[in-house]
Amino acid sequence: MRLGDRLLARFKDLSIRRKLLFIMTLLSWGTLFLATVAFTIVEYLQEQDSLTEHIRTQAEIVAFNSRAALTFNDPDTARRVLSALKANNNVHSAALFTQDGRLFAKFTRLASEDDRALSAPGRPLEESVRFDHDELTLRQPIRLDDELIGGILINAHLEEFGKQMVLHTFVILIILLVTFSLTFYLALRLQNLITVPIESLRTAASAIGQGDFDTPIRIHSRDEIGQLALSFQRMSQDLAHERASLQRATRAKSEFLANMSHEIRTPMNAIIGLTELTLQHPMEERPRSFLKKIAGSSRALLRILNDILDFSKIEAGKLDLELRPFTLSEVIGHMNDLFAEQAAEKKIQLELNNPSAYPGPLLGDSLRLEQVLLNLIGNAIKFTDAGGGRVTLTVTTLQVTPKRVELEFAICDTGVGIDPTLRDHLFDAFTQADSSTTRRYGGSGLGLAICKRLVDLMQGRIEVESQLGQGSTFRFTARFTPVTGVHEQRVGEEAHVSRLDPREVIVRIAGARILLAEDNAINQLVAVEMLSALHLEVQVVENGWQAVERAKEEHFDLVLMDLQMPVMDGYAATRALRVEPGLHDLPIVAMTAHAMSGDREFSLAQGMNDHLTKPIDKDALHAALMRWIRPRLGIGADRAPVAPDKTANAALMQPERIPGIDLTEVMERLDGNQSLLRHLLDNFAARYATADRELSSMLASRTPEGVTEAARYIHTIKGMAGNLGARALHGAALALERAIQENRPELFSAPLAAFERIHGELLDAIVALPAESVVEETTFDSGPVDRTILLPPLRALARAIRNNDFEASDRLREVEALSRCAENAALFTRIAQALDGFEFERALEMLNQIAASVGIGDEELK
Amino acid sequence: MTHHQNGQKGYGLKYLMNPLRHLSRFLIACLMLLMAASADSRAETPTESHVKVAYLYQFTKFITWPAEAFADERTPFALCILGHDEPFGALLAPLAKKQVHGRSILIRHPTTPHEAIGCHLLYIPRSEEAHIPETLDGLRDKPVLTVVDAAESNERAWMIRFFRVRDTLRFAIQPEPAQQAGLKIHATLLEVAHETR
Repeated sequence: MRLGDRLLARFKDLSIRRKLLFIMTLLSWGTLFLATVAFTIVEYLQEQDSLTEHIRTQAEIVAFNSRAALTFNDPDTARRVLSALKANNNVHSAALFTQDGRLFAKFTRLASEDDRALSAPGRPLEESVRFDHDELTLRQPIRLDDELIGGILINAHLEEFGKQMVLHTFVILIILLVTFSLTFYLALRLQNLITVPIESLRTAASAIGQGDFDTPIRIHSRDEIGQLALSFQRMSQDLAHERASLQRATRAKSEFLANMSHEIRTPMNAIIGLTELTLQHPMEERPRSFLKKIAGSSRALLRILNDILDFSKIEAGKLDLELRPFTLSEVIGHMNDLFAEQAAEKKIQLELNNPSAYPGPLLGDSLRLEQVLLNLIGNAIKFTDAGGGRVTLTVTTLQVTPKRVELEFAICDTGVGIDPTLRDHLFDAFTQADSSTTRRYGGSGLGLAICKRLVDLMQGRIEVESQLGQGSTFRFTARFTPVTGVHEQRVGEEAHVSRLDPREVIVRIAGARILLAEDNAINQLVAVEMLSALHLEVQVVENGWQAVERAKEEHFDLVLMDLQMPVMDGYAATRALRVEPGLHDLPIVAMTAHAMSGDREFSLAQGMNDHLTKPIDKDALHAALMRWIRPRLGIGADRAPVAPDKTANAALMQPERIPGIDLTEVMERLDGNQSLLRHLLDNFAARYATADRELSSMLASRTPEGVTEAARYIHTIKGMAGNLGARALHGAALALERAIQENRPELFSAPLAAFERIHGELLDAIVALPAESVVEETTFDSGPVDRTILLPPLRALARAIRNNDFEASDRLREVEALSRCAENAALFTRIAQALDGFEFERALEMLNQIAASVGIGDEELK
Repeated sequence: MTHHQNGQKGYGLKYLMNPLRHLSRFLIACLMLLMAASADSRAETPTESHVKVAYLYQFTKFITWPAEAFADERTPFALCILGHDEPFGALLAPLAKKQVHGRSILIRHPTTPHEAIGCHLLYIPRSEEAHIPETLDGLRDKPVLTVVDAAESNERAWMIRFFRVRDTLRFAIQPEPAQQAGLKIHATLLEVAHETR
């Protein structure tokens, strides 16, 4: 029974194909077998009957012929008559009996069979037929005119019959075997009629399950399966339709968000920009303080807007992690800098354990990691009541492989804790532990949702343990790529926008001619004001077409190009400019309020040199201007002292030209440090020598892991190429990255081939470089800042802070830009934080620390 | 044996008056007679007579008479014993109850060949051996089965002849005279016969 159940269960698990085959074969074989058995039995019985009949006939003949012998008591004749049976090989013995049952005559083929013949069972004069194994015993009475005169007994071997039956069975077995094979073959073929449609239905279903609604179902029958396929097809069409409309809706939502973001940013640009511009004018104290409050509030609003935008980006799957080298201790140190003061103020003990759980450099988005930590630690401090509480951050290394480092961060507090019923929805958007939380603690409710999604992007998990009143522990894991080699890190830092002293900017680029293409009057105003403040000459046009025309007529050092303009947009204008002779290297910087998508890459791909997001950040604008405006003779009578060094350095450069590398660009970025460039190039050549092969093998795997890995790999290479000024490689890497992101394996081959070619050329060029002749040790840090340089801005900052002035933030940036002393970087961040939190006293204290570090006393700042 | 004796004695009025009883006795007697016929003869005279009577009767079963031998369908089968002498006595009586080819048996005792015309089977006992030639001549080509009990085989045209081999009664058959007389002798009878010549 159990076995039967098991077999039945196993049968149920078989594919329909096998089931059908099994059933058909079983039925046909069973029927055949039964038919054959029945046929054989009937045949056997008939054979037996006919044999019996045959023997009986012979018995009758012998009986007839022996009547006279019996009647006239002539045993000799009787024996002679009996011996006629000799002709029948089956008969081995026979006997005649007289009417009183005595043996009258006998016939035996072998002498040894005498006894058996005589002792055959049955009464001598009665009619009987017995089959006993291979023996037939037939008895018949002999009559003469109704008078019983004796009996005959015939014993026949059934050997002949047995042989006949064996032959018969053999033939039947052969027929059975042939028929079995034939039915099996037929069943195998016939079941296709049913299983092939089912199989194609299944294939279609799984294709639809994977989101491919276009797979046709090739079933043309009108049976149940055909109807099923038909309704299935209708259903999948409906689904496809639904999905398309859903996609449209999602796209519309993203579009809407982008537009809203654009629409909000445009007025924000005006508000922030104009407020700041207004503040530069002399005015009374009261309106000045109102304006400063407007500026502060606008920035706060922008931050919230950025939060929401971040979340929408993540939701739309458009937030990509950047890959930058960083170290864990940097990040943790940063956290300490940010929160130490705040925690101390609330008398909360802040412990950051094991900051160097993984001491080496890592590749990953440290800013996003910091964003998560910032949120969680900020929450922990926020929700821990002042006095006696404790917040700890503990880092644990979970896994270290050559290609991956997995870290776990645990943020533990002794705060209010979280109600278990709310815990499940904690990471959902727009949720806070308690609606009263919003009232007590504020916040958009997006923080944890963003954290959760960022952690997801970092291939980690986030979870929470909490007990109401006892505190909470948030735990998340994240994966990073270990970096071997120190110099990539340098390049990464190099790419980071550093704040520049506006005065230095002025010195470098004053007098340069800027073409501003912008259709919005307020934006025009803001930009013109910003640029004029830098002593730049600005020409304004209102669309791309005008921009192209103007650029053809006059010389400009740089074009600031809005992307969305009437008549001709920024992309089209850029493309048009790039084909103009003499304008192909004109620096073009895009300006856009589109912060949603990865527009930056797109802008670069369209031939633009840089990309700024509105509202225009002054520092970012300065950086872009500094980067792209080429210093030329006659502009800026007074040059920054570093500039000649760079030129000199560049002049020393050997060789003049490296194929595939834009030396101008990269030397600009590396402060003209040729030795560093050489080092970076060698490093790149060593590390990515086999990048093409690795990529193609990752892609060849066609697994999601392989593709993801390839995407990350190419992204890194793209960044490296960009940093090294390897334009062609950057472009090829970008194209390949696009193809990978679209996840269309059929599109991989062309960009991959291009990448391989360019990669090979670049490597050849690097290898072909002559051995480094001059090894010049250069320091990259500008060293301690002169006390005299820092004194005026520090003073201004101190004054602004004491006045509780909003301007303080701007002053702080100036100071920070001038002070290149790395030790103070954290302090600057904390001061900025303190200013944001209107904690002016603390800001002032920290400022004094900074001043002290460069030898400026408290007194001098007053 | 005892029964047999009883049967012999009881033949007559008593037999007719008590048919059931006598029938059973007769049957037993017949059985005994047949047994005697098929068993090895011990050459005792009465037994040999039994055998002879039985044989005479049995011969009829292996021989076919022509249709013209009988006047009509109800004509009885005439079994004739030649001569005045009655060698079998009461042994013949049971035959009266039997049939030959569906005909009742009529037992006659002709004394001359002429009288024998109309017989279907004529037995010529040893006592009448002397009359064999004339009888056979008289019946030549007549459909009469002639059975002789002769010590010597002669050239006469008898059809069946009884003789003794040691103690056993045998018979010989001459098929030609029978054939000429229109009688058909069954092959199996010929097989059983000795010295058919």
